[in-house]
Amino acid sequence: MGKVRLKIDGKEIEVEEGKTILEAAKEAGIEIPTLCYHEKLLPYGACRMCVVEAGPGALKPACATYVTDGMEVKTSTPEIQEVRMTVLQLLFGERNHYCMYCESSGNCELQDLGYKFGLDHFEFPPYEDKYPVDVSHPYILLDQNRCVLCRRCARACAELGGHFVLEVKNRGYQSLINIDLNNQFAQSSCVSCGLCVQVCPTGALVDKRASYLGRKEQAEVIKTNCDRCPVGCGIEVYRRANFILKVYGDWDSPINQGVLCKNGRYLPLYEDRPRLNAPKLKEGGIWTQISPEMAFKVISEKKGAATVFLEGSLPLELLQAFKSALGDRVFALNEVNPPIPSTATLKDLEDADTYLVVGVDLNERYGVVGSMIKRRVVPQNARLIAVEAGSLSGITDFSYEYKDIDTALGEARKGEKVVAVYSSLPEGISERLETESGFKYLFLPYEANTMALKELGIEHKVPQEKVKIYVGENISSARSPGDFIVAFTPFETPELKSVADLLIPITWYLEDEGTFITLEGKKVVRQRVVTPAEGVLTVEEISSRLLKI
Amino acid sequence: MEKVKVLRKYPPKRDNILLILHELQRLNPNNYLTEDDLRLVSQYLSLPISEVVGVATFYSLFSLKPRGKYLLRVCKSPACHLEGAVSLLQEIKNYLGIEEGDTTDDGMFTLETSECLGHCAEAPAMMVNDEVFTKLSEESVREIIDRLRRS
Repeated sequence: MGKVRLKIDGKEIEVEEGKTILEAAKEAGIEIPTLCYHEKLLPYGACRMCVVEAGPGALKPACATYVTDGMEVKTSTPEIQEVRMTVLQLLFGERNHYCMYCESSGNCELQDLGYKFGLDHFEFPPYEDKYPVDVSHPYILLDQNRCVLCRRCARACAELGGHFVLEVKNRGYQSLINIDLNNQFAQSSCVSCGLCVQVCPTGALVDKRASYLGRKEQAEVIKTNCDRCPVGCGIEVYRRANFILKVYGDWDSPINQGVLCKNGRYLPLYEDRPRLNAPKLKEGGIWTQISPEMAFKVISEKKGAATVFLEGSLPLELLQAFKSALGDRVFALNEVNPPIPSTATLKDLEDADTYLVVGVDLNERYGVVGSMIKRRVVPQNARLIAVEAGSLSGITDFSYEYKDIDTALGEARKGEKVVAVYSSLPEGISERLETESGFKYLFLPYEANTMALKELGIEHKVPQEKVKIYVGENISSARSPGDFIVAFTPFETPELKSVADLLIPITWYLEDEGTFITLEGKKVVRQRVVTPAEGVLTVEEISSRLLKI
Repeated sequence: MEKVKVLRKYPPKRDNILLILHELQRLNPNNYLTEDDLRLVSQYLSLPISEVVGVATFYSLFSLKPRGKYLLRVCKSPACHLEGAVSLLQEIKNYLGIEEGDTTDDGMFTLETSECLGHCAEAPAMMVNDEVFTKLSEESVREIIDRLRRS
């Protein structure tokens, strides 16, 4: 690509062809105020905050004007500043921008601009009209009164999330953010990925749970990786004291580039199963709290007869600790082996022309993989062949049941770059699928750390032994007379307490550092963001105690 | 089904959305687009429903609410404004007993405003369905409404 020479505020610069004035100015260290612009979204030019002088004629939006050779740009003449000031005054006057009652006050791009331009009064009579507020979403609140119609939410929902749920309806000052057909989040096709909240510059879209609990300045932002599934997305965790305010997608992450799903952004923060905070032993039907020493003494006594069943949600370090303590009597609680091994990476999803999704609803699980596919399928840049893929069938004309697998494969073969995406496959289907020579295969491991179990050579086995040690967060077990059941678990659910004999509390989610191996085989680290409650045993404590049994 | 016939007239390309919406609206005896119409278009053109709603609500010639047999569109552009469009509109509101955007209970009239109708030299102007009436006065709009009611 060629180079273009231009002048910005008298400064001679050279940038690559195809850049916008805004990008060129940024490279030259010249700041231009923006509002509707977002680095990860296509230029839109809605707000006119970034207007600059570039040649004859009207002022041009820097975010949506490409540089040309010999261009002379002025970014802050008095005339430009006056136009920007008017734009701001109009924005502030149009809807409810009384900052003091807004959850986003102190963390708002509109407010920041107000201060920057020294706004000290309403130039135009402030708003009178009332616009709707939607509280029907479990995690998100939409207040149209605080909306500046930048459309970032709708653009992110479509361009990044691939969901195409949000759009703008009506026109002019009556424009509203629209959700599907009904203008309500409830009963909409929203998958609760939360991207709209993450990109909203004002308080129009806010996170219900984090509201009024602290602003960005009062929180620490910790960059780490999500452990909810094997995609391993980069996340930014907002922590205040020992409390997680909210989780945002990390724009800089090479895995998800800012996109998250419901499971990564909201569900862990809404976890309500009762936590186990001390080891407990059941004797004669009665649970008593015991010390960790006592608990490990019991395990040591049962060691000879015990078999361990590990969940794939656990960090590599904990899996290793059990493996080295109990060797060949350590198994995986759930399936480990892929029906067909992966030959593709997430990168291959970017330029495929056909996706064959089999047996997994990517709106419910592995949501970020779903976004990567949906954002290319809905604008018809690629085709989706959905075989028993749940709600995903709603966005494609090619939706099949397992019995029509041959038709589906025939349809998929019409593509040149085909990626098959699947998790577990029923018998008969994987055999049909794996013989395709032209396909790439992307296996979505069953649990967050299934790949670590595989690396450690831990095989799946159905628990049948008398003395069983389960480790994980979703444990259920049958019980027959004479059984002794131990569970290392973060949660003491009534179901578990009805079958177990010994419960030992372990850390959960962001309470402990741990390594996870993603579906691409990359090692990512989940950091400790919050300190676990007293009595909960960390991975390190468990590892050192296991060494001694 | 008639609606399907309308769709089939056009190749399933995004560009055809306005033409299809217009025809579907014309097909409806109450001169509006139903939710089913929007869903149908969304499916036929493989467009997200949110986008179809966005288009249908952007253009003032489409309505998502049932409208009357006669659609009165009073011009509110500057020339008509100077010639008394505001009091004209008020007169129609009083005479029909409805507000802007509403439909009379008998389903006869819907009152809307419009941008310039291109009859500035004969302002103020109003369109009733496809017919333009010009040089309006408070008396003449009452007469027009009465005549339409009788017809």
